Amino acid sequence: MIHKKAFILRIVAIAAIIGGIVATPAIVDAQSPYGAGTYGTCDYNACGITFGAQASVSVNVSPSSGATSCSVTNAEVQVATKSSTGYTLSMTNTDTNTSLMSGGNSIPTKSGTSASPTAMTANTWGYRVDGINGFGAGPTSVVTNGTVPVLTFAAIPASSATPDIIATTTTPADPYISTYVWYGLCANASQPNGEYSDSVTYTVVVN
Amino acid sequence: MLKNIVATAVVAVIGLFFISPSAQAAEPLQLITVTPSSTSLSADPGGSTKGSMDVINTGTSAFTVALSSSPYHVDATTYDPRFTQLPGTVDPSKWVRFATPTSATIEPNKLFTADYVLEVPPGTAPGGYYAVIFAETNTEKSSESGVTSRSRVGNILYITVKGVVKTAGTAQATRLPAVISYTRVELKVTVGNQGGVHFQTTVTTTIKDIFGNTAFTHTAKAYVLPQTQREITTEWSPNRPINIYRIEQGVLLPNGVRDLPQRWVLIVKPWVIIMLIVMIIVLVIVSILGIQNRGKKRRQHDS
Repeated sequence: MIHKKAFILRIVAIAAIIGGIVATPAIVDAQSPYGAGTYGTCDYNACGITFGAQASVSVNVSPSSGATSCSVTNAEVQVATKSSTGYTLSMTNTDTNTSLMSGGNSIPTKSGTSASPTAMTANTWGYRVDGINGFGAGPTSVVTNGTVPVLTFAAIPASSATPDIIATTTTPADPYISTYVWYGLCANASQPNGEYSDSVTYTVVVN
Repeated sequence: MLKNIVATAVVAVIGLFFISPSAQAAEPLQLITVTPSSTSLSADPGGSTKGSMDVINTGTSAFTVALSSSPYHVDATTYDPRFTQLPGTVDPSKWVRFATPTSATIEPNKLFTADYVLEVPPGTAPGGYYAVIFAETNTEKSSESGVTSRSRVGNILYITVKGVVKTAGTAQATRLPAVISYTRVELKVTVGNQGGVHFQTTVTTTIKDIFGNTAFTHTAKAYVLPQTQREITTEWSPNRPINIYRIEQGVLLPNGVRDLPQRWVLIVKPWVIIMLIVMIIVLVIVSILGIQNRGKKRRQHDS
């Protein structure tokens, strides 16, 4: 009889604890205002969209004897919109020539796609964005004349190809959301010296 | 020895031709704003309508923008944007005629208003057509090594060519597990458009707790293009660590509001599950110890 009473007491105690949890006042956090979901958004035909990017980023590498040297640098791009459906940001090369060019010399973009990126190889360049498509979480960090990065990179799609989506949201970007595009360049001593450059185009529209 | 010296010298010379690594100065961002970011237009076949959009330099340095128009369609239920013409379709971006220059240099905190006229060719079939007007920064390729970027910001044109068009829509909610232990829940509704013109759908979500108190409301509006399905996601972060909720969703379709079937879910935050497991383990240990003690006492009493 005593055992039965103790058992019932334990059950009552557990029920009271669970009940207490259920009845505990909600802790309102900034990301999820209780009972509000549309504040600060706007409908179609009323929203603007803002995009920010650095006009250029430098990627420099100085290959050493017999080895492949790699540098990785990042470009921050920002999007802000109050559109209730968010935005999609994509990128391509500005033209159909996806190589870094220096006069008649070139460094082709690497193989691999954003869905299936691959490791960097000598005398190629590419990009990656942490946490989207097949790139994995990273984190990527800046490298200057280092070894071949462990992380994978993708080719820059040509302007005529399907753009690579590098960021997308389903909610307003207010305040702005930053995306970091990491550019990787690997070269060895067989690559002719020079100032190699290319151009990419970021495209952003609301969803 | 001589061979080594020559090899070292060659490598050194090659290395010198590549720019030595230097600290990258934090360059200010070029900030370009386009408003509106989408525009609804309608015109008769053979008719025209006017529109305008503002391109604003919200940065600190001047830039040149170029205006252009492209076809627009979407891919998959996630509505991945595509700026190419689908085979066998009309390209409505060719209907856009700019009434103002298509290139302008915009100083910081200044805006450029781009006026345009949409001219629908005679004989165009009634229905929905889609294009996008881009404002693109015209950054010249750098003479230094590296990557130059151009920013292209779009204003999507949802064009209705007037006439008799079929309109029809469907809505379906994605199934949810009965017990959810995530801190953030994604409520997905797929809205289909079986008609010939886009419509704007509204997904209204109301979530009530077991006591009938409203815990969350959200309204999401989105265009659904003809012959496509669009997944509309509402994100909800339940506040209470454990509770039972009733999810009610209504979707505005061309033929009226469709109420989706109500769903009940038990939300248990991960730390609550861990706490309950710990409590059960403690309870089991205490019970076992209690049984052992009682057994000892009985044996002592019997002896």
